[in-house]
Amino acid sequence: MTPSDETLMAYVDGELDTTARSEFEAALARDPALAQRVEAARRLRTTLSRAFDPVLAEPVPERLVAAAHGRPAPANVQPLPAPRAARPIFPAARAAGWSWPQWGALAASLVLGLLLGPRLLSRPGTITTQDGRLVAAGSLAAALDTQLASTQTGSEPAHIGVSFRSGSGEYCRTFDLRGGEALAGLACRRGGRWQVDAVMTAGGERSGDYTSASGLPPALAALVGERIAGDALDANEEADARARSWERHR
Amino acid sequence: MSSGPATVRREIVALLPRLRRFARTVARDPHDADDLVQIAVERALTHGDQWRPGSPLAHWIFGIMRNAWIDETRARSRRRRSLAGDVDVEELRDPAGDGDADLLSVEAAMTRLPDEQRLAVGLVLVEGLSYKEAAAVMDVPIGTLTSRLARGRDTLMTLLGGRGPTP
Repeated sequence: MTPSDETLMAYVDGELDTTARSEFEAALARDPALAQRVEAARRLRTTLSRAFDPVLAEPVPERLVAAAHGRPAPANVQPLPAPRAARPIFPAARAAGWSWPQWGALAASLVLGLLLGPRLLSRPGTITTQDGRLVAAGSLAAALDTQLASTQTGSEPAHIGVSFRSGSGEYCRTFDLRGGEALAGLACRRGGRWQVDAVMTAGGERSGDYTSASGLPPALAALVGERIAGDALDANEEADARARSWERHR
Repeated sequence: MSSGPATVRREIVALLPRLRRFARTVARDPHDADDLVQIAVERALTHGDQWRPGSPLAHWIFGIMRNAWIDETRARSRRRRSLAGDVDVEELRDPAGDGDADLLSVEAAMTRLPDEQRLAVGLVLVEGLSYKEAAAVMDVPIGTLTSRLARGRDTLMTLLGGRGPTP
């Protein structure tokens, strides 16, 4: 009798007890086709090990070691926290006791302080701080106030991506700043100003793998996905919102 | 945030390479994978009291990673409905793998599997858990685990050409 697929799989995975294993091996000895299938299943295990085992030898990022020690990421973590700092990808971050505003403020200040400071300096006046919060200013504020995503020419210094309403009714807009290294972010209308809830490097030389088909860096797309209520605004809704100075619906 | 005992922290630090390997089988993008590890570690420290000593700490954290990933997948499918594009779209356009020239990389082949099958493959075939242990991590009966594993394995062997010459 030919052993079932489940038995074959259990054999390869070392899940058969002694008796079943002996029976299987007896069948194996007289059935070359069975032996070939066992060989193929083993080969898959080897292929997977070869693909994933090298991860074990990689240096562990400092931010993970810090997390294991219950510390926030140390200041010397450099290149990648920028896009990841907004960390909207896992809603779980909030379940663990972090409200979004905390994450946003932390992410933004980390990003600004550690990474983006010099980059923003190259485009002064686009993002500033007021009462410890990041706020759009200058050409960025102007773009957020007036530019409609649907009528942009592409030559504006600040480009608007997606406009939407958040679960709390605020209007939010994604933006990117061109010139120099591209920065992308999310600003929401709050207290009569555009608070910048996230800002991140938008790719540069790696834009190929960091830009999603929606045109947003994945971390930003993730953040939008978390915040958005309903669909993104269409051209008419965007114009209406602008006419209301982006103040939330009552 | 409650602080877990120092020994648990040390154990977690020692486990990080393994947690990263498992995360890489779940999330193709290495940065997403590390995010997954970070979230799981943070949750593990916050909910350290839920770990039953006697069961391997790694397995408990694998379970946390699995839950975090499922949450993430749900969030992604919501985004897919609300945004025009998604990161995964390009990957779905990979060649179909019906000839040698079209064989996929292992990582690309893994992304073709539904999450639960990929988790089963990662736990058993990469992490070396027993069926019983993997079923416990995934919080499903063993029969469910083995059927997911079997389907995942079949798909991978097809995509990767692992079936060998047809007799």
